[in-house]
Amino acid sequence: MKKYIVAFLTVLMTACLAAGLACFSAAAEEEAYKLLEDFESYASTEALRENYQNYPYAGEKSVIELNSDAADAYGGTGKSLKLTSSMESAQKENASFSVSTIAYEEGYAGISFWIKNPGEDAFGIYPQFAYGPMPKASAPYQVMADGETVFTDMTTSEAQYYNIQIQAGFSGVIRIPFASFNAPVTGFNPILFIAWGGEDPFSKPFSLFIDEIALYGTAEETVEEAVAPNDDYEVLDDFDGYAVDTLPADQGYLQYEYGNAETSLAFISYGEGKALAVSNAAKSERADFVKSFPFKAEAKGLSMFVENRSGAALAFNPQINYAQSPVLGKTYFVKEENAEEYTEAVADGSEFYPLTIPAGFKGEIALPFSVYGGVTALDNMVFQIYGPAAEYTVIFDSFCLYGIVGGMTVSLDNFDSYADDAAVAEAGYGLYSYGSSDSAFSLVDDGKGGKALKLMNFDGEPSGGQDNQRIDIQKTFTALDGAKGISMHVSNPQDDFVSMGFVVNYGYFNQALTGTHYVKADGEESFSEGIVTTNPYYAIEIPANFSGTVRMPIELFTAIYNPLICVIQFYANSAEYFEVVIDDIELYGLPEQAIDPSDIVSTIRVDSKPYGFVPRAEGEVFTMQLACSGLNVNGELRENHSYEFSLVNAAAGVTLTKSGLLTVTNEAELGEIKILAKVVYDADGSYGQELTFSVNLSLGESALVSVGNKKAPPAPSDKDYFVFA
Amino acid sequence: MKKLLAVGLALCSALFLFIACGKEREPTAEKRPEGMTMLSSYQLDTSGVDDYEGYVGVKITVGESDLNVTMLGRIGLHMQKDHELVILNETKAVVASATLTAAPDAVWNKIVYAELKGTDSAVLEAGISYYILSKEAKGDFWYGEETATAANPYFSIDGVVMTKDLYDVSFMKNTQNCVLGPVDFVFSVAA
Repeated sequence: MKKYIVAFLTVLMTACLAAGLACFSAAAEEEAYKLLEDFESYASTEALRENYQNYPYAGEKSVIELNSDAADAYGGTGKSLKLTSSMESAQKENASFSVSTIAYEEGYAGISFWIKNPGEDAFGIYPQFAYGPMPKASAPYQVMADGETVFTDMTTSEAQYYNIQIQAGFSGVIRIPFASFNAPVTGFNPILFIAWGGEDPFSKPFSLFIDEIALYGTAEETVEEAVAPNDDYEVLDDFDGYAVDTLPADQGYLQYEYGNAETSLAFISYGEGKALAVSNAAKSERADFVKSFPFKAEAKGLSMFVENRSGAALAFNPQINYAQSPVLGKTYFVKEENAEEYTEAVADGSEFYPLTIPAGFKGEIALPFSVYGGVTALDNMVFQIYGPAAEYTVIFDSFCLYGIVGGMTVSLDNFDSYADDAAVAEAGYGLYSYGSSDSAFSLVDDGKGGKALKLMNFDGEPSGGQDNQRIDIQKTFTALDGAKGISMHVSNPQDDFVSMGFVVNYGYFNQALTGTHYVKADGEESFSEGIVTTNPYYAIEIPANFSGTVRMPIELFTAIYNPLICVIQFYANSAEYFEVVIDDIELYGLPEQAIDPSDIVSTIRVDSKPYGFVPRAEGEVFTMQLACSGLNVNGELRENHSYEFSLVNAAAGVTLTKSGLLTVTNEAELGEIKILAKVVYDADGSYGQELTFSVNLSLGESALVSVGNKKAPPAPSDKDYFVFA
Repeated sequence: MKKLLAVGLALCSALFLFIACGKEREPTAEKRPEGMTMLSSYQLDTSGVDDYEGYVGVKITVGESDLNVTMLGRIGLHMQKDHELVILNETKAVVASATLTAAPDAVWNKIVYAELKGTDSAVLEAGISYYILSKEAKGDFWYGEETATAANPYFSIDGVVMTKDLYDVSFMKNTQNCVLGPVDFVFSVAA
């Protein structure tokens, strides 16, 4: 009996173990999911409205209700939120809610929600977090209609807002990866959902139901690559501007109380400027100081100039916030003073001093943030040096953030190719029709063997008043997606500053307003923040006698998109003749690709027909091949790429392969379907420019109808070519 | 007597001429093409179409090996005019073409074949779909979608297709192993 009990227990334990492993395995494969809101806790609409309110600037009078009809809730059970646009709203087509009681949690891949459109018309919707991140145009998301078991890949429309289309009658789950948002998602407070009915003029309200708001998936851990500096530096401190009697402590350079408290710090004359001398007068092995620097998340690293005057190699730990040291084995960069390029170095020192400053080293040390395994701040940096037990000095200079811009630059125009002023006009430059009428432009020598464009304002001409102080010139360019901004070389020969405005794609809200722009005078190495004027329409100050490059980050504009219609404006302080010279208009900070800038496709041309057919015959399927071609920024055809096609919105009876084979069955509806074409470069498979275009489906002449009129074969004829037995 | 002989000879000649003139045309001589054909065996639809202007044929998808095509063909029955034959790939680019005349390069099993224009052979790539099409005008009779052939290990016969302009192609669902025309081609498996 005992033997049977043991056997039984053995079998039972084995079964339990197997079941346990199976459960563990299943759990391990299950996708991460965190329900945030299912509306079940709300007893009434009034209770719901305590947490859910309209967004004051869109759909401010739309109606938020608690829906208790399970047919309009996720899974056909429980409650949901019902949102109805209001005819009383100032923005009648909008419906919105804002909720601040849902907490964000890190580590998830995206947000999902269930939505139902009970109406007869489609509407667009987008979520927005903390008044910031919202889904990008033409970005991936997924849809799973109720009753389906797998998600379908979709692409947001090309619109900046309301770019998730909810078709009439749709109900199902939408999930949007945070990677598809236009800014990093780090918080939710508040979450906005804003819908747009799209009726113009508005004729009737629309409703939607939302439920099961959740976080899903696991955020991918990104392994940050070590990036060496290019010429994009933002100087944190080069000491040059300090008065003679400025002490390091006055500027936040402090002794490290847990290090060698007798380290001496001094600003010294160094080269043509000043530098920080760190000396170990106490003949201890250690020398150290503490300093906090501002941090920018988009920067790739911190660089500094260092001269080791100790005569010996020094161990070095530039530690962040008293704790975060460079990680052993990771890469950083050094550049001797006269070297042209940075070379890689590896943090191969000790745990306490991971880096080494070679004896006699004089040059730059660049610390990519990847050497720290990621950086979120540069507070309380402790620069710790360990050397010989002798008096030694190390010079520090030019602390910089680098890689803030990065990427490639593409010239929009450098004026060198124009023969004369007529050619400039023929290329599309003209005075802005709503601007000054007493202005003119003319090609001039740019002093570098090329040409530039001189803009002139004449005084005393008929328009008078403000127009006598303005120059406005307009030109439409082809833009490239992904640029971090527009830059332009500007020369102001006057002894007084002029103000510059830069409007893109028209619209007073799409111009370089009072945000930060950057300037780099000719001969300078790095950009610095430019002066912002008090005139919001001409916010960029071009200093007297300035000649250099002005960078306008894309953040200054609402958006930059094709075609990039630019109105460049200058405004002087008095109604006297003045002139400015512009040159080298560029897009900068384009994503790095293994493609030469001149081979980058900036314009996609659709070569296939803009229409297709919905078949009428039973069992008939129409197919058509979509085709595009790509032009570079100079309008030259490029054949270094193919296209990846996708439907912007799912449409019944319509399928599209990545290679562009469009198939339409008789289940399709008449009307436009929107298609996204993405450039895929042959060289490295990287994606490039995108274009959304439409194909209009109409009832076509059905070829297969002919098959329905079949008849018996004819009798043999003398005219037949062939006779068969 | 001579007269009688002459009359008899004349009567015989007249009878010979009468018989000769009333005799049916000789069947077109067969000349088997070198290589395999899609229509190695087939069953014609009992009816067809004679009032369509456009292209008719079949969509195929090549299997695991490339195919070398050397001839294009079409049913020879009721053929009273020359026919242009083409192979298009999925992007509707012409891969091969041939003109079928009253003097074909091969005749077999009532299918007539013509060599490709400008080249000895064309390659149909593994895994790619192609359209084999014959240009038909009003008055040309071709057999309908119930013309069936046997499946083969080299490519799938996806179904019948028609197109007015070689661009928008109508594909008929549930017509696997069926061929309009029928069209055909001669192929070998690439080494």
